[in-house]
Amino acid sequence: MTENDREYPLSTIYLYLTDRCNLRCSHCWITPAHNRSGENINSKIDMQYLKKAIIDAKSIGLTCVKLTGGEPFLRKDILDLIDFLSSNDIIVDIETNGTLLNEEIVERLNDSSVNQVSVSLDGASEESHESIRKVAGCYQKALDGLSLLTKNDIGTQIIMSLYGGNILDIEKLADIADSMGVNSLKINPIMPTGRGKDLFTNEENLSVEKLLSINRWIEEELSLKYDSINICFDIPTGLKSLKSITSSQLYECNILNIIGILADGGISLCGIGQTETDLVMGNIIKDDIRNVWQNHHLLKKLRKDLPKNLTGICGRCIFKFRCLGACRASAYSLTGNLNSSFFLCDEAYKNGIFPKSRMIN
Amino acid sequence: MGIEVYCPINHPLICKELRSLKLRYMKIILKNNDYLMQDLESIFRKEEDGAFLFDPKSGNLKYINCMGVNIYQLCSGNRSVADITSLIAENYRDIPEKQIKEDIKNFLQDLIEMRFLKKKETRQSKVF
Repeated sequence: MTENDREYPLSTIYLYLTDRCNLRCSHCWITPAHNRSGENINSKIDMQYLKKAIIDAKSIGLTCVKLTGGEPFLRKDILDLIDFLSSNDIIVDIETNGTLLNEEIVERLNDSSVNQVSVSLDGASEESHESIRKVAGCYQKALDGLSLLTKNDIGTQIIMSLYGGNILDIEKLADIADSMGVNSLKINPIMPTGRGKDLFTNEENLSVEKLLSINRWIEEELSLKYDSINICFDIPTGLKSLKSITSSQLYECNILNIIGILADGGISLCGIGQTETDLVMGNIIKDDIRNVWQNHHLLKKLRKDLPKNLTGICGRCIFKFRCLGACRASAYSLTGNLNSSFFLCDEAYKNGIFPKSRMIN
Repeated sequence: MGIEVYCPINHPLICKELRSLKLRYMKIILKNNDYLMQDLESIFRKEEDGAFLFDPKSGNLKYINCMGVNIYQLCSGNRSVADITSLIAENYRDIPEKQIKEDIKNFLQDLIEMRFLKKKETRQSKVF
């Protein structure tokens, strides 16, 4: 390992296994093409390139791969890939809509190094979930998939994308998580990227005031209702309560230790390269991922800029060394600048509700 | 004593910083007759249930609870470690004196290592 690898290990790869999905979610930031049948598809990129990239990345710190998409279980060879990752002692996290899971798949997962499977569930009823996921029948299939996972004692998480239309489902989803033995419920407010832009245009997103009030309710009431599930509301650290910062797990994007591999092999800053092609730095078919990680000018600049050159309220926040400006992908998508402030913190500051105690000056 | 610590150790720059701090501060020995003062470049921000200490240069960040805030505020340069530990211990008579004094010293040591406090140079004490 070089000095650079020790300071900036590439600890996690987000592997966007396919750019196709069997659902058509209105908030999806990746905007995959719709795969109507839900049938397995051929690999867009040969597995040998993925395996080489993983082995190469392991030599510069790789410990975890998140398999996502599109819908990753559309790929025929996902289980072989999971076996390969397991045999190389790589921790595997999976993000899926859950609709394609079956007993055979879950049994294979059970024998692997899968740490957690996150299943997207945006509503606690068919009507609510499918109104945003846009495919009939996907609610029950997601629940069935989740049930298979919990019965096999695989670490599970429900991921809820929160917008104006499903606020009332938060508690019901927490009840579902609790009754099914799901480990955690992660609630992600929708982002103004990819298809999510339209939801913002139609003002279906939630204001920062509303998000902060939901955050308080979750911390002070909802979390106390359950013994075994961890409820995480994914807003930037600077907007969280002191109690939450010090006592619960914070989901922060360690962007300086992550890289994305897109469905076509593109090496990207997380998955944003799917829509913001300026942020694609190479391709695993022709480039050595180690070389890209160590030498690409975009990553070098990012390391130099984060957090000291963050602008706006993010540059003034005492959590900037930890939070690193929350989601840099959304900052770039909205402003074309990887250093600009995160839109929610910006909105909070402009509305006078960003905590003054968290500002450096 | 329950003083909670929160430090951004995931950040590679901070890891490097902490490594170098550890090496540098292994030489510091906190004595009862040391006088402690707050580092004026650090930012102290009080909130309802405690406070944050933040060093804008290194990014070091520490959360301290209400008791930690009391201890930190006593470090004004005119009290020794012994003075501070005695003052605090008086208010917690249900905790064995030896234990609370040791906890307070460890807490002060932490704050020094993270550069939120420093020893005041006197004829008796010398900063290493």
